[in-house]
Amino acid sequence: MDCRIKENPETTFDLVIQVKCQASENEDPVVLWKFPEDFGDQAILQSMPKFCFPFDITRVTHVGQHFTFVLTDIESKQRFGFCRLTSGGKVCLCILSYLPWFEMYYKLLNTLAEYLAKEQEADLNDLLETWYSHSVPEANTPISLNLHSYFITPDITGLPTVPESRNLTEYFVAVDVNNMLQLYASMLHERRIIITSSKLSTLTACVHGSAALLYPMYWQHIYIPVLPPHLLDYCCAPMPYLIGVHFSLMERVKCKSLEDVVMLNVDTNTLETPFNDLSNLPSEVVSALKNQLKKQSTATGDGVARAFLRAQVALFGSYRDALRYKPGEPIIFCEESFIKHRSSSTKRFLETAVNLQLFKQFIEGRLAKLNAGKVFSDVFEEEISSGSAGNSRTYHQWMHTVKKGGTLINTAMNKATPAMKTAYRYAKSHAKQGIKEVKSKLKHKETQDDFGICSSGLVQYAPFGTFHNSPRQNTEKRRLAQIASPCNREEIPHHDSPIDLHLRDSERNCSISVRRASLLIAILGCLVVGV
Amino acid sequence: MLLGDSGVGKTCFLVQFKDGAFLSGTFIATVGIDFRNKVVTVDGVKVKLQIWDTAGQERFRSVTHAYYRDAQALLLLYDITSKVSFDNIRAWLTEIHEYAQKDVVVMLLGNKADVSSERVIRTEDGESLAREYRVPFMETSAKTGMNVELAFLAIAKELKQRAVKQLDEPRFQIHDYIESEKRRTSCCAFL
Repeated sequence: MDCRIKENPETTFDLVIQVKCQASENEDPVVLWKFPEDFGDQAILQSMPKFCFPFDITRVTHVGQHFTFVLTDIESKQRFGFCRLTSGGKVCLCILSYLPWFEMYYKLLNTLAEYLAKEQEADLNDLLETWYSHSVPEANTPISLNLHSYFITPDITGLPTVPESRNLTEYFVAVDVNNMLQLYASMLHERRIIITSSKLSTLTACVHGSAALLYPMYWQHIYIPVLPPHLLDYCCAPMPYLIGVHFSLMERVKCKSLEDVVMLNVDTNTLETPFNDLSNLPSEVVSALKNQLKKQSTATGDGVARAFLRAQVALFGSYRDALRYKPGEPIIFCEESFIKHRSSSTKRFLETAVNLQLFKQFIEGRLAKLNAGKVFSDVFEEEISSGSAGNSRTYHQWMHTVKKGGTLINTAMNKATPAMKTAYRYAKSHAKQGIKEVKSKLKHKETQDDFGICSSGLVQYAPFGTFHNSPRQNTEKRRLAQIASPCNREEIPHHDSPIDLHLRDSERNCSISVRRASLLIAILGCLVVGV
Repeated sequence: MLLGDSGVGKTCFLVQFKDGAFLSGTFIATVGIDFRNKVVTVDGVKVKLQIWDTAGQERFRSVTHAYYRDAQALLLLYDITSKVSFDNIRAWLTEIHEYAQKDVVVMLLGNKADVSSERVIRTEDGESLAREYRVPFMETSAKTGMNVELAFLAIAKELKQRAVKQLDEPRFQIHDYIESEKRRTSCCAFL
């Protein structure tokens, strides 16, 4: 829901075309060859070739080889156009696919280009036929298309690594740490952002690479890693965007006298911004990130991606604290308590950050999973849990809490999945007492430290009352009212009607309730296991 | 900028405005964004309107203000044959009121007025909601073109007024203008 990569695409790719560059900008590029022959989507066939030469064709020829543009479909899912330019930028081979498998498709493009150069059309068609009819493989599957084409499908759920990820590697190599931080900060303010470079491969790598560092969040607005000349007016859009423009077209963009745009020139490593976005981020998060990025050891493996992931955890990881659960109702997220208990600079940032589209979609995505009763984990959740292990003081406090009030948590964790029935019975008989105990421990804990391990892990599922109706919240959140939540403990009556009462009401409801409860307990449990 | 629920006809509205044509079926913008430029003449002054529409804002339960914080004018559309789209307008207006630029021009439009047989929202309902939030209102049809031009002209007039700020000129009253123009040009469309 929040991710813009299409889940379960039907085919490994949709179309491959070879396009010849037009002689002048008034003409259209010519499609020399395509696969499959009977591809029927005329809108794509018309627009795609124009994305194959996204630079000023009258002025430049050497623009680099591999690059990837993005088309956005009606569901706002991204479809990638993996390109390989040859013949001095005059011919482009392009594969259109929903799979964000950059390295694999660049490799395949090389193979295809070789066949085309040697005029081995039969081999070319065989290869494409094999891959086209292949069901979309799982991650880490070895694929052998023919004797010369062998690869292992990438696992896109893991962090990108240097040097394996071409996007991240190019971005990290080309852009210095300060500008990486600036760009990250501007993305976290959902600005209008233009990135430019005279090398298309660097350009699109920087756009894809920088956006990926927002993980577990995703840029939700206009996303055009490389903008073809006929669409340059899009830079005038009044809404947030992340757009890559080839340097040969930048003069034309600058003519449009854009206001309030953040511009990064990758070639000169200069960033122009009218904002102070970086200083709006909590300074301790920025300095930790900066230090990490400047360490030599960070430069390889997942060091860069993990450094950003840690920053994301420091900023947003405590979202778990603000999950609220009331038996029989969906789990909700409480903005106010998310912002509360944070240092003043963090608080200031989060007050605006909760209104970011990328944050809203992130929370919606998490809630959808939790409320569907899915047990899930990802590198972000793991980092939240493991991040606390380093701090021995909070670790001991945490263990102390768990030993006293947390038997429920441990046991339920063991039994919650997959033995849901056991957890059901268990939760039914113990929930009331358990919740009370945990609740009192939580209260105790909260007074001890404002943030730290506890606030980064605990799910507070005390049975809260109805929505509170402060006027501010009323006016602030429109359709969100349904997931806006009771936050202020003082205002909320504490019902003494925990889970087991609801269990009798309706079996369907209660099993969902228990599943949600178990899930929350499981998250808590993960923490215990994590430390 | 065009705002409103999915299916209220934003993209068609945009196409009608520029090309005087009606687009049927689902329109897919290749990169999820589209706009039309049009120069209109207001009291001898040329005003260039740039109308923006993006695909996929419907997927957001709530469109945050980052999306429209820099817009000068917001055209908020609902579909007169869809109660849900009308009910959501209140939420839209509340949020716009809180987060958009203070001097943003807002206009409420009840679209698909040509499909009167399926109408579920009365013209009076639109009018009274608009009155409550003090925004101008009219019913439009992207299909027949009814009031589309008028909506943009009114926006252009208002924007020009704000930009020029001629002191000797009496303040332009967008409400009055729309009311008089509605009566003059397209009253029969409502009958």
